[in-house]
Order: sequence, then structure tokens, then C-alpha cells
Amino acid sequence: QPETAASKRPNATPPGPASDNKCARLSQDENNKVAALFQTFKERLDVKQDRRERIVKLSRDITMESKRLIFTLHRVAGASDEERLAVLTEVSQRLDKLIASKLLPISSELTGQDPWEYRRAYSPGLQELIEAMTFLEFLSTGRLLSLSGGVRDRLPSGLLVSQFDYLLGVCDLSGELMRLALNAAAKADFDTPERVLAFLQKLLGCCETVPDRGPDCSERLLWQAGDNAAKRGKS
Amino acid sequence: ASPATDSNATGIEAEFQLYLNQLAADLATVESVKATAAELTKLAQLPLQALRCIHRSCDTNSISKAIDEARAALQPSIDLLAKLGQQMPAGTYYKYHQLWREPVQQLCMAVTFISFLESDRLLSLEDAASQLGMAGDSDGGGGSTLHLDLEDYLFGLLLLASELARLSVNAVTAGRPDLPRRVADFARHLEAGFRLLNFKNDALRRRYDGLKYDMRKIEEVLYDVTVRKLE
Repeated sequence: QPETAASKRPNATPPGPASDNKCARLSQDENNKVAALFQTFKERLDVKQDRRERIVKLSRDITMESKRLIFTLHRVAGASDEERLAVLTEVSQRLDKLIASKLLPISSELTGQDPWEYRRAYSPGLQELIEAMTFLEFLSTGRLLSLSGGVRDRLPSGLLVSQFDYLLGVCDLSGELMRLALNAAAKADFDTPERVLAFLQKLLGCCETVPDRGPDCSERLLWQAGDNAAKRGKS
Repeated sequence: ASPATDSNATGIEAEFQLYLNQLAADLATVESVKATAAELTKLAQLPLQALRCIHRSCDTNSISKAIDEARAALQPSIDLLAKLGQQMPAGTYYKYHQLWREPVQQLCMAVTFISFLESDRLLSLEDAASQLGMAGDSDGGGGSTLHLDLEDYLFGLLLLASELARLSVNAVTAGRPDLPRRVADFARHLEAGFRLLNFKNDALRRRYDGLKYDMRKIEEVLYDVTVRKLE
């Protein structure tokens, strides 16, 4: 039976109503609903992505300044007591400024949000910062800055500092400590390398007790441990 | 006194002890979440299997039957989702999210598929969430009820598009040449919606790239049906 033009329907044919006009309206209705729905999705996604972008930029700034702070701290190798004190004081002040100017904004961005959702955006900066903070603490007191009492207390409370980030920051610290020890030895400061060695032996001993968490963590740990063991042998 | 002699002067051991304790607890959560997610992935296949029967027989009765079976098959998944919500400590939704998002996407596909078959309508995120026993609103989660992540819902829609492309072809074979037009209208609304979104370079974006191939298939089937006057 040949189809006539009248029986061909250009729009959707939902089950039920038979008239062409109603079908056309239903389809337009559905179209509007879907469009409106996706408009809300677009807005939600944009808000999330913009927030993530802003956090990433802050994280990059934190990385840069933290690296500069670490570089500055290396000046204590072979330095006089006065110079040493001056360096530690300067870095401590710059650290406070960094936290106020870059970490607080991240904490504001995270207000009302699930912090785990954005963790990766600021994780690199945070790890670099922890490296700087723990380095400063070691040079000031010979102790490992703890996560709960130390790091978390000095950072804004809205900021999630996961154990993972802390551990990786501390692993990177061991690299800096090795560099410090070598620089100090080169300047005939043999006290520093001795203290560094004792600290590192403890640290690496503990790191070895940490079970495998996955590629990121264990690779870095093993690399640092192997690298440091080799350098230890040399010095 | 040299730090090396006083065993905890550096604070290292105490710190790592704390860390190891918390790590052990965390690993325990990860293991139980993974186990539940694996079970959920299996259960999530059941409603889809029920629905996929219509690729072979899609007269009105068969479709009705498939929908009823799929609805019944959804219940175990819904129950398991509730259990999953309770396995994760409060406020860690996104910490473990990657472990269980795949079955959620499949379940979204199932419920939106049912909605299309019943009424040619796109099931909204809020309605999909409520059918799955999840919370809809994603800002400021909390409590043990999981909320339906927007990106998981969108991923489910993209999975649906591929399923519909396949249905389009099989419907004609199974004697329902009217279905491709319904599929095409629905899919066009969907595509128009997706075009509004800004994507970043991630898995969702890559999946979205496949939508154009699904659309092409759907439109080609409709073309064939029209040109041969099969409707």
C-alpha cells in the first residue's frame, strides 16, 4: 500500500496521540526541555572547570615560590651561625606570606565543595610546599614536621592535606637533604652531613615499611631510597 | 645531645607509625569498596541484558515485557548502591569515586533507555538519581546516600546513544521501521544538548567524540527507511 504525503510525519511519533499538530508540539516541548536541561549542565560544568583552573594556577605559583624557598635554604651549608639564622628567618617569613597569599585563596575556592574533587588540582603545589616546610623545620629543629600537628596546623583548615601528598613531599625532602649534605661537605662543614645522614637513615628506614600504594608512591620512594643509598656510600 | 642517640628526637618514627595506622584503615576501605563495586558491575549488566532482547523482537508487547524485566532487575543494583554508600566514610565521595563510577554509568544508561522506550522522553538527572535511590544535587554532598555525579549521568547518556544507534538498525530488521524516526528525533535533541557543553580533555570528551558516529548511523538508517518508503 503506497504511503501518501499526509500519512508521513516529519516529527517524532510518540505512542498515543494521533494528530500531527499535537505530535509536533510534543516534540518541540521535549526539545525545549532537553535544551533547558543541558543549559543547566553547561553552567554547572563551566563553574567546576573554572574553579579547577583557578586552583591549578594558584598551585603553580605555590610550586614556583616553594622551589625558590628551598633554593634559599641551601645557603645554610657552610654558613656562619648569623647567616644561618638570617636565612631561616627570611624563609619562615616568606613561607607565612606564601600561605596567606596562595593557600588561603585555594581554601576559599574549596568552601562548600567536596575537597577530594579538586585535590589533584593543587596536589603538586602542596607537595612542593610540604618539601619546603619540612626542610625549614629540619634546619631549625632537626625534627620531621608532622602532618597533623605541623603541616595541617599551619595551613588553612579548609585545605585537604592528604597523607599521600605529605608522604611524597617528605620523600622529595630526602633528595634536598642529600644535596645539602654534599654542599656542606664541599664547604668543609662536616657537622651538617652527619645530622642529615642520621635523619635520612631514620626516614628511609620508615619509608621502607610503607606498603605499596600504587605506581606514584612506591616508584618515588624506591627511586629516592636507591639514589640516596648510592650517595650515602659515596660520602 | 646528638639526635641520632635519642631515638625519637626527630619525630620520624612516631609520624610514620601514625601514617601506617591510617594507611591500613584506608586500605581496608579501598578493598571493601572495590569488592562491592565489582559485584555492582555484575549486577548492573542484568537490566541491560533484559533490555537488549528488543534488538531481536521489538513489537510493543516484547518491549513492554523487556521493560518490566529490566525494572525488576534494577532492584538488586539499587540495594547494592545503598550498601556502597555506607562503606565509605562521610565526606570521601570523590576519594573513592573512580572505583565505582563505571557501574553507575551503566545503570544511568539502563534507566534512561527505559524512559526513551516508554515515552520518548529524556530522563532528567534528578529523576534518574531518584530511580536509582541516589541523591540528585551534587553541591555539598554529605550523609551516606551517594549522589549522582553529573559526568557519570552524561556518560550514561552517551552509552545510550550508541545503544540506540544499534537499535535503529535492528528495529528495521525486526519489523519496526517506525522506530528509527523516534530514535533520530530523540538523539537529535541529545546531540543538540551536548553541543552546548564545554569539555576538558578527559574520558567524557573522548566518549563524546563518538557521538557523531552514532548520529551518523542513526541518520543513515532513517534515510534508508525513508528512501525505500518503509514507513
